[in-house]
Amino acid sequence: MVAGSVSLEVLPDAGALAVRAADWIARRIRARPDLSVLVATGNTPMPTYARLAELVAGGELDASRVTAVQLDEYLGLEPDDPRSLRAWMNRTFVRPLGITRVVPLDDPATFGAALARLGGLDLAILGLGPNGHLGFNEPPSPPDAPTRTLALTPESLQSNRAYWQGLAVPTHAITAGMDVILAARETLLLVGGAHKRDILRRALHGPETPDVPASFLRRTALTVLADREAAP
Amino acid sequence: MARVKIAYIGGGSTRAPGTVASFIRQAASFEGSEIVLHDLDPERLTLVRDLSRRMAAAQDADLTITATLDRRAALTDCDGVLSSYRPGGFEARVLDERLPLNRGLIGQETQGAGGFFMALRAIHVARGLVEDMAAVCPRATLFNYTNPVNIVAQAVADHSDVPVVSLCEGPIQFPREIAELAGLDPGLVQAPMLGLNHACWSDGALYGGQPMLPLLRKRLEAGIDDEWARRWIALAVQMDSLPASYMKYYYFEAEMLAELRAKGTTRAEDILADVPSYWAHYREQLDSQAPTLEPGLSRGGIFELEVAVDVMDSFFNDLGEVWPTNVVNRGALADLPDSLVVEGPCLVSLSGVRPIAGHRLPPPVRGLVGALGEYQQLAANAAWEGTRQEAVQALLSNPLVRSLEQAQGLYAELAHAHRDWLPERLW
Repeated sequence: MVAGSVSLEVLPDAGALAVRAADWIARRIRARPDLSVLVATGNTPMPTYARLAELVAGGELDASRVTAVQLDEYLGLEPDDPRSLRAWMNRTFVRPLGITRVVPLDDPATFGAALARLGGLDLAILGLGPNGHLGFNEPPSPPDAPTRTLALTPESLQSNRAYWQGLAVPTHAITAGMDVILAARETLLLVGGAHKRDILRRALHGPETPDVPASFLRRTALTVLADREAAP
Repeated sequence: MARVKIAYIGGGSTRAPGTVASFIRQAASFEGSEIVLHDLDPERLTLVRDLSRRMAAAQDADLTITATLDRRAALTDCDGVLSSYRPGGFEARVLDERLPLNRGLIGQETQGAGGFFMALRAIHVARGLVEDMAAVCPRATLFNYTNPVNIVAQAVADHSDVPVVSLCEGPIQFPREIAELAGLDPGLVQAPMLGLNHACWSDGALYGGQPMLPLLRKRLEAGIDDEWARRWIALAVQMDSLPASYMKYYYFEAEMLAELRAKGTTRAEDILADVPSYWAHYREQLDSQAPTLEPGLSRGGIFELEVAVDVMDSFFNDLGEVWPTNVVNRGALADLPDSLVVEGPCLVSLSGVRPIAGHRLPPPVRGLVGALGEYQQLAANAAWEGTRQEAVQALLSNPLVRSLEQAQGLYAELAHAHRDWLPERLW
């Protein structure tokens, strides 16, 4: 038991994590077909999204009424830039799941208004940054940090480098605010690999602090699915 | 669907037939479950049990309904416990309402000095209840309806390991009632209410997807005849947030006091006058082939909301629905302490009842809600294990009391009147 509202489940490996996470998300979509979901990119959720796509392709899940909400984006990219996070979300989540409704993250005001029209987020699917960031809410980010544009920290530039072989990592970004993420009715945090163990431990057991933005997730209805290597 | 055993503490009360009727209406969600009624009054308990069985049979509900006077037996191996009891009955509530009023203070079931003494009595019983739960159903969750629900939940959460969630229809009803008073369609209102039980506000109210407050302002400017409707809407418009109806005791304290004094009887005296007719109606229905509870002749929310049943459905069937409840804050509502029991929208699933984070209290009301939160904590502690001195401190922290000699005098009088229902340390 971590805290009153946190449920932590440890899976044997990345494959089992993906199967469990996809089943968990599919269950939410079946219960509420028009689910609004904040969608993280990054490496950890990819097998989960692939598994969800299999469920859709196999006729076991209808996700066509889901609204996908973008979590973060680099600034200053052309729309067809291979580094675009929206393109990544579309490629791995939106199109394979047959989703037609997307709330893009272009500027804070229109994003906030679009979320209000949706009636808020039903679910936030998140990965865990190596420094405890959520989206591009870099440390320090207090729980009321709004949706905003910002300069990326050296740590994030470093960790993002792995995604863009050879290409430079953009230095500025826009992120859904901590306020938006924490107000989701439910949060699913996917964590895999030994390199995430220490930060997951700090997020779940350390002090709540802007220095580890993910530590504020304990305030939400949080489900953590972690593989054995990441389990604290 | 979940097959569970639920103990209903207070299962022989005037309200019990209505609550069991709600279970029966949603029996499909609880197929094969058992409801054990528990009460202190054998005659009423038997009547509610027999009426419940008859209603269940008439509606083909797959529920087993039993009854016992032995609380431990009722609780043994339960999955959930529904508590809705009133130590001292409505007679005690009459004192809670009448004695403060005699001294020029608001007398009310959940607010002020009356609410405080209701808390002392309720928590005295809750202590024994959760002790029994720890012994014979340690994994069960307590779904509490006993007033004041926030203070009861606070005491149990602070002093026991029993998972507790307190319930109230108010946060769903208040916005709908305001809409109705303003001549709007209650079905079009969306307004999550935040704060404490009976002290909650909604600053993001929508009507048909559009902001609701401008509509209320227009209605107010056009003139509202009914005095109470006008006050409630005026408060909403002034604060730019929808208030719980109980806020009238704070923002219209003098007017409410005058009204309560002008009225010959208190609310509990009115209810007491109706109690014999409730039991007569229940007895009459027991003899009918297909018993039906008439809302006008029954006590409580017949055919209305029974949020406890919905919350249990979402909990035991792992539905992940959002319901307003009262649970420990744990940082969800940044304006109140993490350890305080707060009221607001919660996600309800087998993982527990978890508050949805990220809401804020409107700044103009934070002060009063904060003070009521401090009072809630002090009252819970005093009721559970405090001394008489700590109890008077808690009473003095109540925004409706706040006067040393009034508090001391009223405490002495109420503690004496309720002596049979209080532990000796509080006499």
